[in-house]
Amino acid sequence: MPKKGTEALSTQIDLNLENYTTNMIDKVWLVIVWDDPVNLMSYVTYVFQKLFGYSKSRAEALMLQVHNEGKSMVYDGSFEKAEAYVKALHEHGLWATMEQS
Amino acid sequence: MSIEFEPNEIPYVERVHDGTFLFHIPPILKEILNEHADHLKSELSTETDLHPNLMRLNPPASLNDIQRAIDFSSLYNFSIRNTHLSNLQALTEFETDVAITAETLNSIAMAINSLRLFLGSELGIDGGEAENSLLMQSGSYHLYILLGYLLGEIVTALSEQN
Repeated sequence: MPKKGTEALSTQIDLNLENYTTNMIDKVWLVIVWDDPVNLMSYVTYVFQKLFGYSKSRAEALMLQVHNEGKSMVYDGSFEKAEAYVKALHEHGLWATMEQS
Repeated sequence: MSIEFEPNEIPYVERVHDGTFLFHIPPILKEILNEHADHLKSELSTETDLHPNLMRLNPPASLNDIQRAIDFSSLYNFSIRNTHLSNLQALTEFETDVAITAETLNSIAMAINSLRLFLGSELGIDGGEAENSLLMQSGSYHLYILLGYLLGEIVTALSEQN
């Protein structure tokens, strides 16, 4: 019986790992930045340029989308990078979330 | 609290020829910044993540997946908080007549933004305060606006270097 239980647990772990890897690897993750009236427009543009390496015009366009529409998708790609960007944006005081596309 | 400057005391950022910067602010303003930075450091160090005025410094990383937000929080909040603390330390440590690197000036910008986020939450800034004359008369609001001016000056100086 213990062996059966162990096998069941092992299968469960395998299935969970499979779900995990399917979610993390196969899906495209989006990073969304949300509007906050406290953040200066020039600061938001500066942070977008600094973190993502965007040109000034692209960073300004994204900032204006945040300002006018309440949010903007600033990155799409791997889970790991999306998570790192959300962390960096939070460190810079911008509210960012991540979600699967 | 009202902060007034002589014309020769208006804060500004000067880029030095070697790529470093001087951040000129009058002593009284430096003292005020230090007081607020120390206060925020104390708030951040008390482990009270749910304090409403700290929420902007510690926002959720997911809106549609609570577990992901919890996982992110448990993984990264300590590190994010330490970044805020480190930036606030840079703000209190710099001296107006000593040249600082772009990296330090960037940390100061992030610290000033953190102070604005904290103060903005305290003041209830939500984008609809334009008609609130009582708010605009408060000393804290004047400081909030002044922090915005300082941040704008720094961002301009850092952007021009690129």
